Amino acid sequence: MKIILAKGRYYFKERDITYNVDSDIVLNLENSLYTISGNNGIGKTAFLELLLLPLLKRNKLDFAYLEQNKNNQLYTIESSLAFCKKLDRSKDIYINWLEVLDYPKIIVADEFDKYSSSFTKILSTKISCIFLVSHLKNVQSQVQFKNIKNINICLKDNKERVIKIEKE
Amino acid sequence: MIDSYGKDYLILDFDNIFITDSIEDEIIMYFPKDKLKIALADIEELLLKVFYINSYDRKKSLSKYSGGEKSIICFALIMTVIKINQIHNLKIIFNNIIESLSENNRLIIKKQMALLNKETNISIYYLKNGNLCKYIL
Repeated sequence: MKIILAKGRYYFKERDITYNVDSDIVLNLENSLYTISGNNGIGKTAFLELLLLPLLKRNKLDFAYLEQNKNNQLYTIESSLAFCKKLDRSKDIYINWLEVLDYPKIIVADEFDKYSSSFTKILSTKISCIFLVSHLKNVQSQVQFKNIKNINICLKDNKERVIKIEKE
Repeated sequence: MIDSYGKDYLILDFDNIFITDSIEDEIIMYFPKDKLKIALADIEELLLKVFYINSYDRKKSLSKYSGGEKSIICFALIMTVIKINQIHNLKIIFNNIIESLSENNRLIIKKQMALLNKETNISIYYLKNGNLCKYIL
């Protein structure tokens, strides 16, 4: 399956941030790894939260979002599982969570590869597409996807963010 | 981690990176009253002129900065604390902090830490697969 991040200028008042997509970006959700790169503070997390996640939701796709700060999210995952009476302490918490979510095929992860042991466990599930913000260089060697691309975000005229897709 | 290394190392952990909610409050935590002004000026210079954190505001909530910016602020804070309080021979563990930095910021930090090392003999460590490794400055 493919989805399209359409060409356009996207302004988000709540964060006072503008993204420019110069031409349609086609995202292949089968057998794919998309890394998201750019300098610190450029708006990679905001890109995930303001553009990518809403796009996945609009296309009614199931996904799991792994936030940048693992500790904060772990409390939420654990309490949600406990609330649904699905918390199984004999299992790894992430595997427990993904199992309850019926193993979503799409993972959106924000610098989650830095937690290498948790990331490796997640990679062992049947994922068909990962969107990963990362500053580490070895992620490509950890996955065996056919389609590996990078979404780069850079600043134009010290103001707007330009989003471009490039092949690794 | 504190159980294993807390006695001999200062631990800076990405998941629990600050105690308060602004740079100003962090500075108040670490400095006596008579050094607050110079500490604030020092960190401001580092963040604006060395790391180019243009969104810097000493009163801004730390939650409003990006993950990488938080890591940079953490570095700048610790550098200011070491420099102004003249702390020597400190051993620091950075946990998941260097990993949040883009390539150019890693280089800047490495350079800054190497300069500080000459003056104060600090050493930096990180954890790799559960093992403590020394960061070459």
